[in-house]
Amino acid sequence: MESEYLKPDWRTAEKRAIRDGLAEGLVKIGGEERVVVLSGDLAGSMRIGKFEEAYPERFFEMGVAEQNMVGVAGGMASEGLIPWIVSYAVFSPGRNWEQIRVSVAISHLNVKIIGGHGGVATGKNGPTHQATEDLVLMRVLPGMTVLVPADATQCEAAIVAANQHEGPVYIRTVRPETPDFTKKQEFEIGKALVYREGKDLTICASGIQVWDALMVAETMAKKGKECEVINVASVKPIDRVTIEKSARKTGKVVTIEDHQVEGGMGSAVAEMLAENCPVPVKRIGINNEFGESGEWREGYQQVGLDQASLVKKIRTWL
Amino acid sequence: MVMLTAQEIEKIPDQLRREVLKMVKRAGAGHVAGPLSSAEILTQLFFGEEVKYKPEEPWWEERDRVVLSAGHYCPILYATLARAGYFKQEELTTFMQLGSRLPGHPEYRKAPGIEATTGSLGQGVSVAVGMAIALKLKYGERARANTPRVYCIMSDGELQEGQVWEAFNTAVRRQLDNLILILDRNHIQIERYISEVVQMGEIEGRLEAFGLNTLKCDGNDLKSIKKALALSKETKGGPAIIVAETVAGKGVSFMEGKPDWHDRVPTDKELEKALTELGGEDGE
Repeated sequence: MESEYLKPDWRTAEKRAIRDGLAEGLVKIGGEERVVVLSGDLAGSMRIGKFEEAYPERFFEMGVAEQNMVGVAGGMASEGLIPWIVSYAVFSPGRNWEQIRVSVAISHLNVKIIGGHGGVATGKNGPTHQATEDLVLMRVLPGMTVLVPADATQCEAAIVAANQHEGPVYIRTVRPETPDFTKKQEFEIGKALVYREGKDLTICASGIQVWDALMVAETMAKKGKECEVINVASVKPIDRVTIEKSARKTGKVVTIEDHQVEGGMGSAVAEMLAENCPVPVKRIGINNEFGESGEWREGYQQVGLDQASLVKKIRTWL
Repeated sequence: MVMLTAQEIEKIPDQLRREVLKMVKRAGAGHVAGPLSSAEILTQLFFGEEVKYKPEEPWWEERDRVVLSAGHYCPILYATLARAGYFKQEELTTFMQLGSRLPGHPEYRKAPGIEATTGSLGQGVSVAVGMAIALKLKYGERARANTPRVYCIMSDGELQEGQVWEAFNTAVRRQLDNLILILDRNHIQIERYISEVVQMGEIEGRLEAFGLNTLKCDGNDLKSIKKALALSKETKGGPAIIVAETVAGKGVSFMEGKPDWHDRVPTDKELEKALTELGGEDGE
């Protein structure tokens, strides 16, 4: 039976960039006067021009200065505004991590951070622009919420949820156009969603890897293995109930993400399971290496995040 | 606001200095030279009718904001806030203790009057810029009599942080005439004289080149600070910065101008001598 969370045509769903969901989400929450958007000279690339058009007086071009951008956002938040800072993840939170720690996190201020171009999926701009460490950087900050939407539709909903949440939130977006396969629904922070049920193996995925995981599960089914697929869009807080329940049922968990396996979503899942329900866990992601400049699908083949490699890795591990 | 005579105000800097030294001694840690060099700046701001504030209503909407970007100067800010009536003088004895509202570096709203978490140099300037933008958004672009001002106290060592210059760019671009930066130019950093580390040259020239309305004053002279603050408030269309020339460790002969006293705890003997020089334990 198909999941109620997926579009009926999810396999062939129209492709959209997650960053397009970002613009729509921001325009949606822009009706609230407290919302301001700060851009680190990447408004075009991050596709947030729609917000600037709709609310020019609450759009701030901060230029190529990510450290200052965070501090300014902290000051704005302490005055009751809800600042959204938008840049590439390698720069924010990469370059300005300590500013986020001091000027936002220690004070638990209501600043929302959008880190674009997550992962090797960034492609041609190369490793300087491919953020494969942003999730671990944000996970370790006390009080930070970390969200990784799976498609444009979920990104829009995550932005609405983050805006209602009191406290700092990090949301990762990615560059390429990928299937916009989930149905519109409210985003619940701290909740993982089971998109496919199975008894033999649990696959926890986040970001654009969720759609890949569903496709992988179909291939695995043909080979006689029923995989349960969970979208772990809320990396912190992590949904212990849903993931643990699945792990108890299947006894084996694979995680898939476009991020270093050390410290990412896979780590969050493994750490939680190790403490509560120890089962074998295989983390698939980027293994102690940097990506390369190139077409992103080819980059995925190189690091082993394409569907064929995923199936092979999972079958070998089983 | 505390209303005092000019004579009473003149005595405050040394009173605050004595509190600072006692706090650092009791805590067995903390910073000395910067808090001592900036005593007149804090005094003029809080007791010279410069900053609008209500100690009984610390987060009053229309208050002026004071951000201590040089977060390690916090003993002098805590002593000032206590003196201004934000909290009791006795609370200063809890400085740096577990559970205290007066930690080793200021933390956002932990104690009344503390507007920002600072201590990592350079960051408070950006926070102050963010506040000034938000206040303009709230009160309207054109300066109105009741638009709160943001005062930001920086140290000269802090200018080595690149973020400071990023913040200046934004402050100028956003025409923040409700932002007044005060630079405590005491010439030292933790281990040595700033001139040994970087060639600052004429700081004023650099600041002006960034578009800041740059003013100078004797930062250990209340009248000189008052004059500079009056001029800074008249600045239209952009932020002002006051370069306040000060002496590190001001007021204590053996501390003055010495990088060694950046963050040294005085011995019993040194404390006694320092307190005497500053007018005695209970002196005026």
